[in-house]
Amino acid sequence: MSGRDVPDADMPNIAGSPRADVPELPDGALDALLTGDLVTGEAGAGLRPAAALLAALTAAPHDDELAGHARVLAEFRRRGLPVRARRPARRRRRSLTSLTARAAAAAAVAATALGGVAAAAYTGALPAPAQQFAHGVIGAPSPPPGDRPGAPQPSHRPGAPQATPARPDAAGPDAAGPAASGLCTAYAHAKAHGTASQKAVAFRNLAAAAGGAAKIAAYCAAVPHPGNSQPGQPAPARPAGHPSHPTGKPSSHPTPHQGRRPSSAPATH
Amino acid sequence: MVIGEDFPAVLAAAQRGDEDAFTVLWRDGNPALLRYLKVVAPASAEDVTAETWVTVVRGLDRFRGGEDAWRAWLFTTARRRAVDAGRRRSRRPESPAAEVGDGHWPAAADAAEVVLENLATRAAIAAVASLPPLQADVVMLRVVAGLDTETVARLVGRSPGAVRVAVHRGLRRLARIMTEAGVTR
Repeated sequence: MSGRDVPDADMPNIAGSPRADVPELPDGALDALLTGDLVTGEAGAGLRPAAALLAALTAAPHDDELAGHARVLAEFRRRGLPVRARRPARRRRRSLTSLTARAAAAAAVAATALGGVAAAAYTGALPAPAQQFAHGVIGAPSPPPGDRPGAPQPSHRPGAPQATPARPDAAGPDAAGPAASGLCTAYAHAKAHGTASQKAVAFRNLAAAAGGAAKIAAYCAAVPHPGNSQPGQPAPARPAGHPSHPTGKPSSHPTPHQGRRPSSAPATH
Repeated sequence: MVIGEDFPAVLAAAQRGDEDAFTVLWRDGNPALLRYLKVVAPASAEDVTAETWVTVVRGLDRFRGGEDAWRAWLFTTARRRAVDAGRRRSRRPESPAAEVGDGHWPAAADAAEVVLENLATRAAIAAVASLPPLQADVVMLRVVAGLDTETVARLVGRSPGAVRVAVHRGLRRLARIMTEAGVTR
């Protein structure tokens, strides 16, 4: 990363050489893209390709991105905590279980809300830009004509959890359609027979479609499906699977590099 | 990456040594860190990600702040580790193509969907990585790390105005790349 400081002047002047078929995007529209605000009209249409890309950038975690857990947990256990600080942590574990599971679910929902290609693949309701992106990049099917969702919310920031799938104007599974029953069935099946990883994936897909972990029961209860044997069942206490069991092997080798301790934590702002 | 209202409790538990709480923090942050580092340190993203967590774990007890500050700290650390890695490894030949051949091929029944998602994210990362370095850096910090303009400006040592311009240029260029790739709607 030693070449980070390339001056902007080294770049071609994009504004001076726009392609005739690519309308220039105004700053306001780009800012809206970052904050997830809906943009309509010509600027909105022009944003869709970039929105698709940002959706893929912020898609739900892939399994291989969660593969280094055992290694980092070993580091966590080795850190120099005083013994008196460890004991209360163990006593508190039981009450923390639901807390951490809830937080994991919330994080999964937020991460999945935008780019949940896997969830959308169940439903066939991938937002058109993302589907088109996948189509262009890897030859996936084109989005159906007429599927023109509003600009998705690529930015994930605290205080504004994404609720795209729950919004009536957003692309997402039809709560009464086959997509919804597919998600509910997939989750029920994973819960009964799946690995922790499969459970986690099915749960977060379903949570994203339902508009939140807390809404899953109601969501699935509203879906008539023979495979959904227990409609109205509340969300499980540990939806994301037991985090102490990594779902993949570490993808990289330990390094002897001694990271320097930060001299101070960044101040809150 | 958002934990939300539970963040203070999760952080406090992790600082007391609770592994489940730390795992929540790790699962939330690791994918974003990895994606960021694949753009700014493509030859050593996995190693730098691991080094970042080593630093974070060792400094965890001293961290004070909310989720915004936590994210800023994670990515500040990652960026410093990436700079270190660039200095250490600047003489090594880079192999950006190795990543593509080393794909993750799960055996699950929904393998096709997982692969589809994986490839889309990977292609998006590759597109951002094709931007000029500053643009790629700030686009990833704004979009994937979710940091605000002022935080990104402090992190990369530029003015907020310069960051805003670089983000806009990067997004325009990405839009053009996507449009030229046939993504028009």
